[in-house]
Amino acid sequence: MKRGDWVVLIIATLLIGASYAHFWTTDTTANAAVILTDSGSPERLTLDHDATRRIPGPLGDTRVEIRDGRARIAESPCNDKFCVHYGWLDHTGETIACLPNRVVLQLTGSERQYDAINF
Amino acid sequence: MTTRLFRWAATLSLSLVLVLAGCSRPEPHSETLIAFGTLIDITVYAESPEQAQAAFRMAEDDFQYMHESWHAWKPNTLGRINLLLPTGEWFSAGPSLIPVTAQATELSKQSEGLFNPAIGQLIALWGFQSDDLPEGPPPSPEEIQALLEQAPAMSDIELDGIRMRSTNPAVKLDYGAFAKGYGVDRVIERLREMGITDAIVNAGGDLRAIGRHGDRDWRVGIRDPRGEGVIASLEIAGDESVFTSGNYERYFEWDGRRYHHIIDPRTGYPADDVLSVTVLHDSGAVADAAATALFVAGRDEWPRIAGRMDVDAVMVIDADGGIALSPAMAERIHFETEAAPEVTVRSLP
Repeated sequence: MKRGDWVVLIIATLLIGASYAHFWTTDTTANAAVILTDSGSPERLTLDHDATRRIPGPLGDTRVEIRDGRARIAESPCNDKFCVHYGWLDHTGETIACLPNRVVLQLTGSERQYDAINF
Repeated sequence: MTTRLFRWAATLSLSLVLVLAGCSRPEPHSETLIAFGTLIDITVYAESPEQAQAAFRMAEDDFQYMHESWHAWKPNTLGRINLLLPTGEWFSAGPSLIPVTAQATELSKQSEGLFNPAIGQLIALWGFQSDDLPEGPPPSPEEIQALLEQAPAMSDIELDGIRMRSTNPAVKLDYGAFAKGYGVDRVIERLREMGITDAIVNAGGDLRAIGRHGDRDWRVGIRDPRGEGVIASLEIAGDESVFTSGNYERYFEWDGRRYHHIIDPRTGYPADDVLSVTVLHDSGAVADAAATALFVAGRDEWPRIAGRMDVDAVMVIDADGGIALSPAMAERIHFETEAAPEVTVRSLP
């Protein structure tokens, strides 16, 4: 084989490896958080930067916190605090809702690991 | 000759390209909405964003309608039925609740009364018919005993067309363990009528999926009832529902004890032998009712009741953390924990 053939062979092998990694492995780390409410359009926050948002709902403000690439409901005016106790979300598709205060926090980004979570 | 063949081949490939370009492959669209008193997550494969939006609005309207009419503690269609049942007289019931009541009666019978939507009074006595969780104390044994003695059951209800009556004045309907499954079935039916063949409808953690997710099956993670994270996963395709009943969903604590919302109709107290029951079945309504019935049945009796309800894929996690699977579930489930947990496979009669 000539030198050119080797170059082509190496490039082809690299391309196969790269496409395998691209198409067959799933990266489920989320890169953004979306906050949904009854009123107003969804708010999108990137997980690259730490941030805190106060989201007004019928009962008061729900505090959403973004830290170290994760998101959570840090404070809520609801009674049960199920949303706060859930803790941190870091996978695409992971969702937590505070139904009494009508606030939903959902992570988006790469492909979802699961299409649905059953509980 | 060669030229003609070449021309013919060129025309054929050109038409093929044009035909293929004209085909729009359905794309997945997702939406999360608050309806039915819970969070609903829907993904549909639709021909266009407009078709997807139409599907989402239909689902939202339908769930909202069912929630408002079938809610157990608001003045509505079910509330009117519950006011009239104690009279013992025939009355015309809201038509939307006739098929719900008929199917619930059949499932209640199959479950030997462990799934019993006629115990609304008992559920109200425990304080679970409220938007807020009860604060306690639990009801007195005398109050519970008084209701148990009246033995309200679905078999006390008679249906005749859209007319209904109860032969037992203690019957009060509460479809909390059934409406979600029935509602998810209705919405899937409506999606199919719209021409959608691939979709998943997840209503607050209980779901039904039809078709596939593109070129793979739908992937469902089952949350660990003992803590955070996913304990196991299922790949589902065609038409299947996954429903879980768990003691962590609604509960209150009193005097250091936890009281949850799944009441055993035999004792009048929360069933406490298992933590969660997951059922895989093609019908959402059956899966929902069965998850409750098997939860109440507990670790010894669940295989027998599952057999009677014609449910073959079940996972039960008991109060000591033991995991039991039916043979059909053992074939399908993948555990996602670092070390594979010890499981018992229980055959069904």
